[in-house]
Amino acid sequence: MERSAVFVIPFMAGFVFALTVLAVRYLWWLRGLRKQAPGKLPAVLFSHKTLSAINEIFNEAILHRRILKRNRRMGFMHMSLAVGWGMMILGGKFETWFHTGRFFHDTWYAVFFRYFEPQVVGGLAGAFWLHYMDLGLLVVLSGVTLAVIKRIKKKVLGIKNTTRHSRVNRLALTFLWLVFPLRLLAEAVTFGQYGGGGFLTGTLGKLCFTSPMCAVVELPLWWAYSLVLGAFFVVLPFSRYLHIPTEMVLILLRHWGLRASTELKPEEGLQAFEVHACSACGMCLDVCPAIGQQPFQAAYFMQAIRSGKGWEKMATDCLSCGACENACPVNIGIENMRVAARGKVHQDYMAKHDYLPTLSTRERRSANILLFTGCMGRLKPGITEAVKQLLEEAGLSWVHLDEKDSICCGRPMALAGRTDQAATMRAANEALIGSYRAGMLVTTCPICLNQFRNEYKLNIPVVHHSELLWQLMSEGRIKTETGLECFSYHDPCELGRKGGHYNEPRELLSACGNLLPVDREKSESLCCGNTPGSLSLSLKDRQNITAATLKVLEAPHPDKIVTACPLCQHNLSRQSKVPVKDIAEVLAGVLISTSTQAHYTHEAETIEA
Amino acid sequence: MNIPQDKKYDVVIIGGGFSGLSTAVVLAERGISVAVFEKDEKPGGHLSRWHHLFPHGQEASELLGELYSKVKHLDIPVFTGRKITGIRLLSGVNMLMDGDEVLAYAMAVVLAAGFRLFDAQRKEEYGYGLYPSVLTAAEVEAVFRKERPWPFDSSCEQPRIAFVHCVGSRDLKCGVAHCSKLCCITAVKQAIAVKQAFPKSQVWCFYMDLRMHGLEYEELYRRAQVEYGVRFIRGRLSEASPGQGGTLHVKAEDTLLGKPIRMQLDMLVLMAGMVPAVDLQRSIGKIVLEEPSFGSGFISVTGYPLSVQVAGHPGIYAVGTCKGPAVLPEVMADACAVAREVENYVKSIKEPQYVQA
Amino acid sequence: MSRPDFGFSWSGARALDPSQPLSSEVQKVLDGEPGLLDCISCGQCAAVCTAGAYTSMSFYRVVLHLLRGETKEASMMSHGCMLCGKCRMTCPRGVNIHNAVMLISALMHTKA
Repeated sequence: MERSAVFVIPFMAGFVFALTVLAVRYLWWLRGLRKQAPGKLPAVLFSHKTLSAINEIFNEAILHRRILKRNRRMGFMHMSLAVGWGMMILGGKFETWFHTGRFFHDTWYAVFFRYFEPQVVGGLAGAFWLHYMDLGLLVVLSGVTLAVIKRIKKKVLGIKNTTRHSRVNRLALTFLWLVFPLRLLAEAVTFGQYGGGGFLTGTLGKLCFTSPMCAVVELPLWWAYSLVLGAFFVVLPFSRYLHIPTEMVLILLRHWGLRASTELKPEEGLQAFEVHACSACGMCLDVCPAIGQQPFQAAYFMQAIRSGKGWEKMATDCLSCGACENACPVNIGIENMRVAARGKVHQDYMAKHDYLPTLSTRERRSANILLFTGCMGRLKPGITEAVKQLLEEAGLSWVHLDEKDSICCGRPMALAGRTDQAATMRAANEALIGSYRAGMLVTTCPICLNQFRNEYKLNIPVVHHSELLWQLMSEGRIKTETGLECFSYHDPCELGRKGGHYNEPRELLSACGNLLPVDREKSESLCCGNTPGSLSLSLKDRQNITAATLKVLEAPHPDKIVTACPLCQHNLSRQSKVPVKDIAEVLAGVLISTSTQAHYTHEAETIEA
Repeated sequence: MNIPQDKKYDVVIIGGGFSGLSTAVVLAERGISVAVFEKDEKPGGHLSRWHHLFPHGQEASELLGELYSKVKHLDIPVFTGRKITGIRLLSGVNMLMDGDEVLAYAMAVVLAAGFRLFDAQRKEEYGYGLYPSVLTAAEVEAVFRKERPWPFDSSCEQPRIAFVHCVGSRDLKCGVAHCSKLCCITAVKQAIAVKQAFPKSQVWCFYMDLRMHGLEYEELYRRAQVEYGVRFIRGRLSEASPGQGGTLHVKAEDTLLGKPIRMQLDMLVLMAGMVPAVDLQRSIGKIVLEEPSFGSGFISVTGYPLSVQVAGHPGIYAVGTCKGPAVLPEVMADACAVAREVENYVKSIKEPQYVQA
Repeated sequence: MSRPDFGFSWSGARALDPSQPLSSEVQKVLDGEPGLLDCISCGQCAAVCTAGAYTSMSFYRVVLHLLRGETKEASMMSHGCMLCGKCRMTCPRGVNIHNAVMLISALMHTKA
């Protein structure tokens, strides 16, 4: 059938425009690539890494498995949009190939195939493609329906918050929502007039659009479809829908070994792809401990970074608890980006640590354990005393490294975006730790723990006291009475999400009494409200976050709230009605003491490991 | 409503401390029938646990004894060990409840719930509850009253003792925004008493601002400096840790010299501030007396300073330290003012033609 | 060049003049950390200070210098800070000290 193709011009214009802008932007972002991976790229292109990247693209960009795992309804919404649209793009290609015998056509031909060829049938196989295309459309429409419902009634989708979008994103959203109903109508009218069609478009056409009067609206509908699709492509490179192609490229680049810069460069390298791979899906909203109080959730932070406006306060206010990164279906390095942004905000910040003492000249002492309680340790003598009591009970010798004065581990400095300065402190502490002979370094502060573990070069293992205590308890070296006390446990972000220790404190608490389930725990836990990450959040705002967290912890009516970080304990205990204790204090409280037999010396006689 | 006569009073006072008993006495002297409910086993409140009073050193028990004899003389019923958990207003009568049980009926209720001492354990860095030589001011009074020993070796002739002002006062982190007002003078009084007990002792007061607002307080402060050699250091103590031989090692900053302080102590006294004892949960026709939570304030009254009525509840009044930190003379004056207003209220109900005095 | 001898000498003025308006750079710091105005110079920050054990770092004095217009002194004093955040934990007024330190120590950097 010969029909005029003028109406495809808007679509083609938009499509070409989008491709051009994408190509320019991607090339611009990739300009810094050579510096990062000199000469390595060609070799990696044809390695198994590309295959595993494609696998991840299929799982995440199409099937959206990570979202499905978190929230089935939200996952289905994302999946149906991607899968349905993918089915239609792919099916369109095959359908035209099948009917014309040629693989290559003008781009628009497959998109508007049914306008040009409403009557081709092609036997059983042709019917398959008709129904297959309709199925794709139905899947997308189910996704669009869910998306509309989500905007009207979030609860139906099992979420409490949806992202508030910028104007351009709302525009793009409107276009996207209109694309598929318009295609349905256009095809239905065409099939109504000419007969045929799949189970969806054909049936609709037969039911509603057989009247000759409807012929008048056929071409205008195809025009509208083309216009809306074209408009969507025009706004795509400037809206959050840029994530659709960008996420796929990001996955590839990541598998090829590229890492994001530690400086804030939202238009360069992998970071640019990360920034634009954020779809503002909103999975980071409900998990944020400050949701409803603060505007800095990752989706908004990314939005601000993209627009270049207002990201500064979002970076310095955020508490860096890591809940958003944990929930992000695209695995964007949000934490790293916030730290980088803080560094940028305070780029003029001057620090001089040339005064730091060299402590390695001390005589070399040995002990089973080097105990480091961190800066907070002195403010929490209860925790330190309890740990010492337990070590004594287990017959271990220790040296308390920072009993008098200490040097900060450097993590707060690093979290403020100044890794260079953190290195100075690291060197000083490494020298101090290296001047002892010991089996392990035990720290009561999970913040120090992560810094020691990930940034320091130490030749002894670094453990959190909860790990050590659980090991001692499993070995029967400390024994406790199992009381009737009920505990709710607060996972410190640095020990849980960032350190990966969820079980040891729980095992210990179960051995001391009743561990109650809490609404938000383990990787979903809330924030104590005062971390070294947040630089600028006001006291009142911090206290509000603490109060919200306490509400959840107090809900199961525990006798004690227990945590394993001196910072969390400090913040929670100031505001809580229920006593807040460290895991070591709880343990020491129910310890069955065998101190009469225990032989304890400050100086070690034996060294483990 | 059928009101049992033995439970019916003109006025019921919640709290049998100094403010409650004083108000009761003033009211009873004016012919108003009044009953006092006290949650503890004996009346007297914080005052009963105090040894002597600033600025003249009068024995607390002496003052309380006078008050008790007046209560006895006026035949005021004082119900001890009875805790009122709420008030219900029904057809103009206030019902004083303990859970679902009605303890009394009254035309007017006076809240004299007093204050609580800030839980010094919340300031964990001072090691209260962890190190035996860290005491609160209230515990030092108990030492003066010979109810507990000094926390250091009694043979020690030259104990080193420091007082920390503003523990749980003026501390937004602890949800306490206010100045507790009388810790400054209490610390001066206790420092002098320690000096009297151990003339060779060394005594320091770590303060942020010294607020000597009352009659003769400034003179007491001067005498502490000059006659007793108490030393005043402007700076907040930051932390305490175990020192050598059962002593305490403390860190502070001398903010006037701008130098850090590191010293050993034999006793550390925390001047724990005054915080609300109850939190009023108000709804129509009902007030529930609850445990205060983080940041909850003292009881607020309408029309302050002209009126003393609890906001939005006719017939409910508040007296004394449940409205905020106050010293004894202020509480006494307040008791008279509240009693006058309560009397007017009661009489205007009893005799509608009564014109307020 | 030697000064002419007038038969007396003088040194630079020691006196502060609090009536001078705050400079724009000080105002910028105050805008960046409004909590600074909450400071009551109690000294808790200095008493707990990790860096204070080794240097003259004393945050409440940094604030005093800043509010009196002595930006150089304020900035130099804060360079030694390790940002450990212990001071913020204990500050009774909840001042975001490490934020303020980062802003104040940048003052000398921008001048250089």
